[in-house]
Amino acid sequence: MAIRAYAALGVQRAQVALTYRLSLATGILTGLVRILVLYYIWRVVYQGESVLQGFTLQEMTTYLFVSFVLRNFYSFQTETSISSKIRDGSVSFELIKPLNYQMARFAESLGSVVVEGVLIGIVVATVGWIAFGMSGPATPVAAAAFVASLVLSLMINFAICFLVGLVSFWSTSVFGIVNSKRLIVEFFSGALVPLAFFPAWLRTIAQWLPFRGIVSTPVIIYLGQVSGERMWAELAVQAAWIVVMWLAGAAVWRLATRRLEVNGG
Amino acid sequence: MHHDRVNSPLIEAECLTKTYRVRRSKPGLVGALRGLVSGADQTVVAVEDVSFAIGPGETVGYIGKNGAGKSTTIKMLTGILVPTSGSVTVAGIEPSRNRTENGKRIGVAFGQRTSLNWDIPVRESFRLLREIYRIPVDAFERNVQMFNEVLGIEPLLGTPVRKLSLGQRMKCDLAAAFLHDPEIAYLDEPTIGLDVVAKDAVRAFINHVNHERGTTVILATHDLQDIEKICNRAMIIDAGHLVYDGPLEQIFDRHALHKEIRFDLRSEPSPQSVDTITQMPGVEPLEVDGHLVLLAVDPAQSATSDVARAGLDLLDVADLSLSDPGIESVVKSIYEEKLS
Repeated sequence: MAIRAYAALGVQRAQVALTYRLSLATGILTGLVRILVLYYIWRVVYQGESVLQGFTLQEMTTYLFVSFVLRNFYSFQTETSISSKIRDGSVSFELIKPLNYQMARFAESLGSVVVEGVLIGIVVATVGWIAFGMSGPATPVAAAAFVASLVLSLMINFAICFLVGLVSFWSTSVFGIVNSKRLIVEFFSGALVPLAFFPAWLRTIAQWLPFRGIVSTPVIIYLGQVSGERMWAELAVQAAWIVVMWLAGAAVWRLATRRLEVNGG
Repeated sequence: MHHDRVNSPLIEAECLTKTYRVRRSKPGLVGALRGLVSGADQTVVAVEDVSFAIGPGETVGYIGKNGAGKSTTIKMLTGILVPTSGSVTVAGIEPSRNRTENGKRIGVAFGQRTSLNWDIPVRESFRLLREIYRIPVDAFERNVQMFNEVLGIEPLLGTPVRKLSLGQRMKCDLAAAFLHDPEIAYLDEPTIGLDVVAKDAVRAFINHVNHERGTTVILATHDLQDIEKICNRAMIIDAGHLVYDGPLEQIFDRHALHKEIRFDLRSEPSPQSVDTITQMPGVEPLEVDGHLVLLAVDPAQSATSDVARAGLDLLDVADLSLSDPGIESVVKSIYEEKLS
């Protein structure tokens, strides 16, 4: 079965991620610092207020921790690992493997994300739960839907990273593009501030972009802010974006390899 | 350029051409800034109008200087690059259009870079290849063991690639390229930068696999010894053009078996003394220029020691060196032969 090959790729990448323990540890540390800073800012914002844009302080705290866990999944290097291989020419070895390139990169991305994301996520969520009174999922259904939405979020994130990584075929300066993409995702996914706090026009833009599927959708499902039919609709929107961007990725990949010039001899 | 083969060819290239577009910018920061708005694209021809056919089980040396177009050709044959024009067919399919299909039957090793994962033990990379190529466990174990017998890789398998020496890494990379019993192996400079012992091991291994498995081997190199020890056919590429395609013996008989003797002189030699030496049988002057006398010696006609001694006697020698000819002089003599 071909699936075994992809699974093995993912497992190997997970193994590599585990060899970089220091980077895991610093990931946890910087993550906690970030959350602490945001937490204390929100406490000031909430002074004398009990509900803002439909969020209580406790819900906001929960939003902070859950969104951090999700954000964490995309802060790692899918696009840089794709683009650096294109830049240094080792993409050659990936082109001669009897595997679908996009699937193979997805498997690898999952491998590292699961190790880094889950490990850091567990630590941070535990801290949030014990020290900051973060709440659990709103209902058992919300919990199950959250897990589904989380998986979809990983796939959306990968599809975006894949497209951005492929830019290396056309440009040698991907660094700037990757950075601006990170900022855009950070902002429009709701990782920085919940989308509910956006002015109406900006919220409309965010609604029509794929990025909210990475953070906002899973968190509001977790919090129970959407449920029933609206929850299913949100999941469907995530799934639709995955299909669209996956196909776009495949098309760009085909285009890229038609004009490929491998660097470094 | 002709070769008659009974078997239908496994690899066929027809009028293969690859051009690159290179953006030229003027030197310096100002030039780079100017390049942002107006960069003149320049077309560079890497490979031009190359045609050949290779039958199953052949061992073909693909020779050329650095930048002659070897790697570009190999990358088109493996399906990594799409030809600008012309065509490649490998076992009936077009590699760049059927990468996954083609990938199953080829093994590739590049001396310049590793296909193994830098961070994890070699054994783990092998295991991944077993899954990717769906190698049955017993065949996999048998191959690892056999490769170990020739290459001595067993002690390296537990080490991450970043901790291996170049020679050790290359041995592991070669083994990795052959794990799935590929029909065709494309090896690009597999001995580059290796010491003599490691080179020998690599060459012995390639020969072994070719004999045992009938693997077709395409070996790109600029080291003539690689070719001499492994291949039965040579193709020489220069500046993107195929300048020779034929049996190996011809090149070595005619061009490569001579030695080069180089005398660096303290003072200019008299014409007579140079003549005396160059009139020895099998001695040809390659370069006589002020303080340098470079000779090609056919050892079958004159012992190199005699020629060296004559030089030391007749010339004011500061330094003396002996070498086997490089690819450059072979290509040069092929050109000269064509012109005459």
